[in-house]
Amino acid sequence: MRSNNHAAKGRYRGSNKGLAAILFLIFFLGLSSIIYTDSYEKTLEEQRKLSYGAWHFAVYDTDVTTYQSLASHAMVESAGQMEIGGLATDGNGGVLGGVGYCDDALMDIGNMKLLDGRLPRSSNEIAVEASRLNLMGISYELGQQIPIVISFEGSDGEIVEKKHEFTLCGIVKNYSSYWKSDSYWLVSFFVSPELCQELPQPELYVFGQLKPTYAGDVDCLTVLCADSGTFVKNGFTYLQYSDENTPATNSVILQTVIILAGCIAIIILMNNDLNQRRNSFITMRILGATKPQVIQNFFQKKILVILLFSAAGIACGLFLPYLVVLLLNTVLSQPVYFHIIVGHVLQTVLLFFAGLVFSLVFSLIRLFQIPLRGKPVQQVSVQSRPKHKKKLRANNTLSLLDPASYSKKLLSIALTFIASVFVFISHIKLGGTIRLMLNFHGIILKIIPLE
Amino acid sequence: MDDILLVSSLSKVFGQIEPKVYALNDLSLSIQSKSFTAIVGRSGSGKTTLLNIIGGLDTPSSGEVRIQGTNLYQLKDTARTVFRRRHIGYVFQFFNLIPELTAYENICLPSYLDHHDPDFSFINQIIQALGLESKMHKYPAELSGGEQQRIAVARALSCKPDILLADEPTGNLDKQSGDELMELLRFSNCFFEQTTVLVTHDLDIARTAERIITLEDGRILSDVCGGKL
Repeated sequence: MRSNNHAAKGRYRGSNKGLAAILFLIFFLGLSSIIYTDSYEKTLEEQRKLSYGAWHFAVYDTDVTTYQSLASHAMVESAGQMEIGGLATDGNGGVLGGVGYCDDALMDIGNMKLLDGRLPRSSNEIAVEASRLNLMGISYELGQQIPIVISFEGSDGEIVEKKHEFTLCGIVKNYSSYWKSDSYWLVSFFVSPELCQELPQPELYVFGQLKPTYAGDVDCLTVLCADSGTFVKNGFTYLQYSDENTPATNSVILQTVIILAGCIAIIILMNNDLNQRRNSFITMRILGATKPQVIQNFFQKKILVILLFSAAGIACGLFLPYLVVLLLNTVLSQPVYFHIIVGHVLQTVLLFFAGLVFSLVFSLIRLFQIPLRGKPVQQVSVQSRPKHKKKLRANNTLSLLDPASYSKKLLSIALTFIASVFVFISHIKLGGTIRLMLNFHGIILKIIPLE
Repeated sequence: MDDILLVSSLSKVFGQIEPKVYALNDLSLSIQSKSFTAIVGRSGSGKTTLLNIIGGLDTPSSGEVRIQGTNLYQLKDTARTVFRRRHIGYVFQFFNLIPELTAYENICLPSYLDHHDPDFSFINQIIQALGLESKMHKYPAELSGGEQQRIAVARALSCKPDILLADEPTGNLDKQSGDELMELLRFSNCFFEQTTVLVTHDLDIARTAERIITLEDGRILSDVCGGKL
């Protein structure tokens, strides 16, 4: 004969698998979605940095004093400069692009890359943006002589055009048409600094990257250049500066739906469980169980289920996106970033636990109201032995969605609802991701800011 | 023999406005230790209300109930709950076993609720006396009504209560099972010297008791020895 110490501790064989499934899904979907959103935004930002430059702000047509004050500012991580000596024209008045040079800092923060060759080292060398060579009908062959007509403002204010013969020493990856230039011409024809200095009245553009801590405070710098130049924020790369900051809203909607559906499902499950065991609790009260003992009995196994399956959901929610990103990075040529913002994860976990506690409070209130007497229910059913329920296994997982059971029907509705919203929002974002990838593979030539 | 239970001027009134319904009306009685008492009466005479108030499941409108000298209704709710599990055993018409627990776990439940291990040798003694050895690992749904009620009796006796209260224990059993159960209750009264108070509307069953109290309209109509009813 068994002496079973678990008897009064409530080793009830009532099923907790519904609660386990809901908790696992809540945490798994919640964390997956938040990591997915963060990773998506990070990937988007990194890809935009490649296209639109990793600078936070630019000051066009400014002066050296402003450059120096910005470069030495505590908020600024690094600052680069671009000098425009004149404009390259096609000889008929059409402008092909700016002629000038960029310093190394700008080449770095602007993610400006050479497709071939190098930057010019002498006055007769030139590196040209690939798109401009195409425009001029010139091949990418390095070392060839190319004539360029440079138009600039003379010392007396009149427009002067001067023809130069250069040796093509490098081809620069397209960038100027993507950058937020506020109608200023950017350098498409890279010449040596010495040649640029020879041209009268060169214009100075300053580009700056902020330290991560101050990334959102870019507006503070406008006062430094109020009287000198045009201040521009890089809204193409950094969505927080633009009006297109929608991914966070999607994430919030998804989180809200998950937590609401999860809470409703948990309340229904708990209510159902409590209804089934109400007579047992009344009997326990009659036999001398105090209210805290009844509550303990009801929650004891559930707390274990909550802790185990929440932890499993959190672990899978963190690990599975990592695996997906790992897999994507082996398949795709462009890197996809796995990005976890600890604050977001903690916030999500705490929010979901708060929702869980809120859901359990309803059961707690009902448990406090368990009376000492209830409607007696005969428990005799000699032929049946219904309490040995099947354990949830891989081959009967779909029994969770059994439409014949009322409680399971509600559960399946909740699960389907969560899954539908997840798929819906994922679909929207997936569309954006695919479009971004097509952009990078050159299938869509014109890169536009994503909505 | 000493009085184990004293009921004084007990009234239970239902309803706040006239006409009020008196389930119990100024009822007084005493039950001696180790006795076997049957309370009989028609439906609505107040039998179950009296048993519930004696057992601490319901509160009286006035009067007092003393078990082993303790005034039950001067205790706070939690203290009364603890008192109930230590001093009172219950047997119900509908057995009220916990379906999720085996027969043995059901029997041990009151001890575990009182935060101590059961007296296993005593429980085994009860189980043998009730002939339940082979049923211990079965769930209530796998047992017949008679077997379930015997498990309920074993559960009620497992904590060696001062008083065993049985509310229509044979009401849901066939004649044979009912007779067997009454034999069992008589046996526990004799063998374990268990004070027993039985509520029934069946006079044949009541006649097996040493003492029979008849209630009518919340008052004691008669109080006689078993054979004299």
